[in-house]
Amino acid sequence: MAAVVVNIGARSSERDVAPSIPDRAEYVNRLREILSALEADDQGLFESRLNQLMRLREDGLFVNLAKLTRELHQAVKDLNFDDRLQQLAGSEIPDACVRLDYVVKMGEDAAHKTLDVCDDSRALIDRLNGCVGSLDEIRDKLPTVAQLPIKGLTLANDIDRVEQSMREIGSALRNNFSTIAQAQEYQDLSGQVIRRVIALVHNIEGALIKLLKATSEGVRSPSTTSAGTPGDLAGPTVPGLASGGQSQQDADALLAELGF
Amino acid sequence: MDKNLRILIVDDFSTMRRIVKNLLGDLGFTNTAEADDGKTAWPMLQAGGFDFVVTDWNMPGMSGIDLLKAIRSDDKLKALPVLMVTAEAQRDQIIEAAKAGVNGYIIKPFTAVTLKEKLDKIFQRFEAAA
Repeated sequence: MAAVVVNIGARSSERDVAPSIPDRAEYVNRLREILSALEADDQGLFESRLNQLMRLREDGLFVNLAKLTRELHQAVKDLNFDDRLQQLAGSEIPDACVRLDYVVKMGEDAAHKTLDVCDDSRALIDRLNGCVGSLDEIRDKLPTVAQLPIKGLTLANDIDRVEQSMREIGSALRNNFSTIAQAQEYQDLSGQVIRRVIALVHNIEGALIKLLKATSEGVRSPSTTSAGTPGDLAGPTVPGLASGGQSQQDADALLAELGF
Repeated sequence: MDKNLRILIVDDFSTMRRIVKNLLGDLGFTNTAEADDGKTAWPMLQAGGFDFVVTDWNMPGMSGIDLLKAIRSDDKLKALPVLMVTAEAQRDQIIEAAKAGVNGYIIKPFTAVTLKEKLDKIFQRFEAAA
């Protein structure tokens, strides 16, 4: 973006005049001049008038571009970020990339944290199965109590020990569930960041459409189908976006058709 | 099927590698190794010892489809079963993978049930052929 601003500045100061966008009447006058030069077979005048007109139009384009760049810059500045995001967010477009990188990282960190806790929980479940095994052993020893009542105390102690273990496992699992739930909080932050970047993209889109309107015969409505060149990958199918993405069932059917 | 199969998981996202690894572990396959793209996977495959490859498609360096093509055109590796697990869901891409000789195609996001189903299917076919 900065490069564009510099170019506009250089261009304006070169001319040393602030070019304005020609209005309809001016176009009519200039076109009449060009037409009469052409009818009078004055090639030199025709060329110079035509060049003037083209330059006028080009200058108009740069005035618009400068205006839109300023607006865009202001729009970017107007995006207010809260304190937590302020550390990362600047006010320029390249920062959108930093913010999106941050979203990727937050998601990745949360996924790893969740997976760590899942690994830990698996180990806890194994311990729980061990407790079940211990209880089985205790049950098997129950008949001995009838012969030797003192054994009852030992077994009661064993049961206490298993009970204690199960309580510990239960509490650790409860903690793990809380950790998993908490790890999802990144969704809130990443959602905010992504929404702001979407707003920025909308502003850019709006500015570009204005620019197109000001400089071309008209705006062709943007193609909604993916215009990827062969070899480009479409990436994940996003619900609500017509991308021609297949579901697993579609893929299975297609592969079956191909003899899989 | 032999639960001791050595499986190479190729994906550029470490979380996805972990998820696939965990799902395979739940199905009893614990003999796994990981690579973050085709370029990293290739020398590992060349070194030998792998019985199965689970690969993503879109990766930096060397994509999954290029890895699949390289495997199919390598004398030592051409019979190695390859399961593609990818977000690429375009019809043309599925056809391209099929033509390149993929053994199964799973579209992300996917479930443990889908993974099991595709693995079973691939192994059934291999056992029938053996």
